[in-house]
Amino acid sequence: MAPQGEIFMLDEQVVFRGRPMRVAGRVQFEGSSGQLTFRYLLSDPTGAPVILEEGAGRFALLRAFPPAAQPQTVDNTVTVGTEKYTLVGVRKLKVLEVSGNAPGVAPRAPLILSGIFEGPMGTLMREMVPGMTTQVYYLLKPLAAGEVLSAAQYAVDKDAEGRAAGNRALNED
Amino acid sequence: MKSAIEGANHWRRALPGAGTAAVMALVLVLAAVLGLIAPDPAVAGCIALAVLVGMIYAALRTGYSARLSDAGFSSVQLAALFLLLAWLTYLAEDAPPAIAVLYLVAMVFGMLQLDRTRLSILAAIALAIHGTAVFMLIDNGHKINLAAAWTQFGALVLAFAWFTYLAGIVQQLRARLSEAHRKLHDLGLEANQRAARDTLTGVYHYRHLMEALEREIARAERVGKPLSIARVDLDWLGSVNETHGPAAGDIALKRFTEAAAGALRDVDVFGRYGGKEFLAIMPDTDLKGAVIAAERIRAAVGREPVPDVRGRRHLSCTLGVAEHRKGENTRLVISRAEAGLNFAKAAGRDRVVALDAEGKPAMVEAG
Repeated sequence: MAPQGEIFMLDEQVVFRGRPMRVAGRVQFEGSSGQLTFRYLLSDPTGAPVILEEGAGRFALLRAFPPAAQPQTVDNTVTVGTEKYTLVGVRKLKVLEVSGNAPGVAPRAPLILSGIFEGPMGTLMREMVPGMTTQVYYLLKPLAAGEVLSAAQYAVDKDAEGRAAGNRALNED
Repeated sequence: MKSAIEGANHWRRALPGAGTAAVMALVLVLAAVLGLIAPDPAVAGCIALAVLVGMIYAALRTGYSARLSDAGFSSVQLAALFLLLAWLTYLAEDAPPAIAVLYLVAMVFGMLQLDRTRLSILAAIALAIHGTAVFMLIDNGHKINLAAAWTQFGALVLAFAWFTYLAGIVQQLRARLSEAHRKLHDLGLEANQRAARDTLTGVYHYRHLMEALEREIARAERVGKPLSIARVDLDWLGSVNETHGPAAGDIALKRFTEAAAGALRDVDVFGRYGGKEFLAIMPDTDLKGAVIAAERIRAAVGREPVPDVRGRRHLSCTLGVAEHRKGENTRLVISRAEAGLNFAKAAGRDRVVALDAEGKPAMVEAG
């Protein structure tokens, strides 16, 4: 199994759920307790771009909403259709480095506020820059180990898989 | 170009017989030069061989041979060669060893081209007509060394029997080679099919989907017909995996893909976009029609039973639908469908969301 929390560089080749993709943008954040968080924009020539966040050794998929259909926030509650999500935590993320085509509000400010809301349908994230009206919502989906791999790690895993299958076939003969 | 290829094929099919005739002609010339046979029979033999090759080529070229079971004319060529050799034996007024060698050359050709039965029949005919030629020479009063003639005849009988036996082995090898070639061809077809299909679910995989979408976008722009897509996600697959194990998750995925693909038309393309994410491409379909099709998929998937997960006993899926806009590439149209899907998931799953021209959720069909 590939190690979790692997840090990717701009233009590095990665494999997301079996799709070969390129790191087209990268943002490095520092949390209030000093922990590092990375956000990646992955792209390939034909499919839709993918936004990933990696923190504390785990990856999460950030799913954007239609620009003209953003969720509604009242006090500590976010509403999408009839579903309600309640605020469970806020992160202050200091933008340390931006490279390439970075997603969301991060390239526009040195600091962003990230609110985490939970509801029966999962987790929502609302991001905003203090003092600005711009805000972005994401639906958060935690990823399982092995869903995001560097191209090199993917090749090693595939090779090992092929060897194991070959050994099984030899043993069966 | 086609006729050049066909011409090359005709030559390739005529080549074994032509090569054998050329070897025989060379041996005849050599025998004449060394004085083993008279020059006239040698020249006549060479001309006859050239005519024979020309006739065979003409039969192949005109397609006449295609009507016959022996399309390569191998039996006819061999019979003609044997007749020619018997005629040369008669013309040479002897049974020279050179002609015996030529019989063996002809038999090698027959061994490689014919089955055991046909070759044994031809070998018997060859011995009969050769014996007849020698008998006619004796009958006409020519001085022939009978002991040498009988020895040569006996040697030919033994050699022909051996060649006929070998022809059976060659035939078996050819049959095995042909079978192996057929299997290889079938495996190649299967590999191509598998290369376009997801191994678990059997639906098209990402690369094939993207190629199909590019093709359909180009077609829609060319003919001015609508094109819509749906991003489809199976709901709660992670919970199925956690509660009942990955094998149950795989079964759920298979049932989901069977139901979803079965709810689409033959012209639609359905495949795995990645993980539990799928994509349906619907040619000649506007947004309204795509929402109806998406709702059909949702209803079909909702009828599939699943082990109890979060109080549910049936599968469910969420769909984001978008219609292609002129000039839009694959990334943009998928991104719009995906945005609709994300909204639908956050709004409660098990529903269809389509975005209007402004990107607002215009049509929502909730489960």
